[in-house]
Amino acid sequence: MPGTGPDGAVTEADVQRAVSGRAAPVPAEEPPEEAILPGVEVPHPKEAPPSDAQDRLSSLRRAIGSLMTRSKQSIPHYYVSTTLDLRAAIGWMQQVNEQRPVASRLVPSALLLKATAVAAREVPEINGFFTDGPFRPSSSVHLGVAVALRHGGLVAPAIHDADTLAVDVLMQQLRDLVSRARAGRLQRAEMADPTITVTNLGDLGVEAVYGVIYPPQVAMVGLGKVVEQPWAHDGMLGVRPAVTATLSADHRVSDGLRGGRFLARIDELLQKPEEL
Amino acid sequence: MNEQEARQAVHTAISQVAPDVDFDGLDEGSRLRQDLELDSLDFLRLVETINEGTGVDIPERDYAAVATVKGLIDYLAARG
Repeated sequence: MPGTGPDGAVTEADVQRAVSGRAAPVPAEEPPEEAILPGVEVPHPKEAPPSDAQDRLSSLRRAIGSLMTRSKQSIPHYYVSTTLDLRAAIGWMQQVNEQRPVASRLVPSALLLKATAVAAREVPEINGFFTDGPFRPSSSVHLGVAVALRHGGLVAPAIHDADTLAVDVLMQQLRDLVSRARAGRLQRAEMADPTITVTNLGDLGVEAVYGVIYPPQVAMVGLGKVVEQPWAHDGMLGVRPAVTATLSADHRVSDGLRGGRFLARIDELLQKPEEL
Repeated sequence: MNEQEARQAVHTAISQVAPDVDFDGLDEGSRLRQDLELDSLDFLRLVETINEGTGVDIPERDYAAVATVKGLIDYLAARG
């Protein structure tokens, strides 16, 4: 984990170095900008923590503030959102999980991440990097996944080539990544190169997330909470599990039509979960 | 498994998944997801840890019954 703060946390100094392009003194690693996830709040501690933890949190807050300011000042964001119908995906998952020991059960996030990665491959305008020159689409999909750390702060390491992984493999990698992120044992390559990031804050309760793009990426996908919704279909009203997916994307690279296409593809892919 | 053993098993498992949870003064009505802030992967690990520690397998269809600390203790006490 490349942060230089306590437990490998990313400090304001790390971010300042990232912005100014200077090298970090100790350890001699490049600044881990990627360790901070935009658009997501650092959880508040339930009690007054020791002062070093407080210092770390306020320093993280400032670091996130400077990065997000940079994002909002340089990236013309647009937002589109859609409701994903999860009836087929959740039904399939429950059926699969019924036959499995708990260690190999799936969670809805695994299906959502896989569908997002495949859709990102198909809509290249939201997968890649925009630095000074023209947009550079990425031929691979390295899916950044926001992981909230229990003592506050966030990291967004990548699942490499997520579009090519079987759902079971992606699920195991997700579990492994989250547990290592929380133990502070991420590898540098994982931190360095997400081509698009997903924040799954809905897992803890919000219905929709409007993320701030992490530069130099050009898109951030926010997934809300899986909820049962009344759903009209063929003139009949039923109840289906659904989730609100929101895309924040860079208008220098794409427009709402492409962004909408990307979200629509995620929904289409989720209708055939067995093929994911 | 009596209630005290179930409570101990639950505390042990929660401590592994969420080491910051303080059991002194913890309201057992606390919800694992919303109040203890376990996400879906944490929850899965909790179910797995309990399975390893007690042999009790909590199928997905019973997740709603174990959404609180108390619910989980009662579930184990009834089945362990």
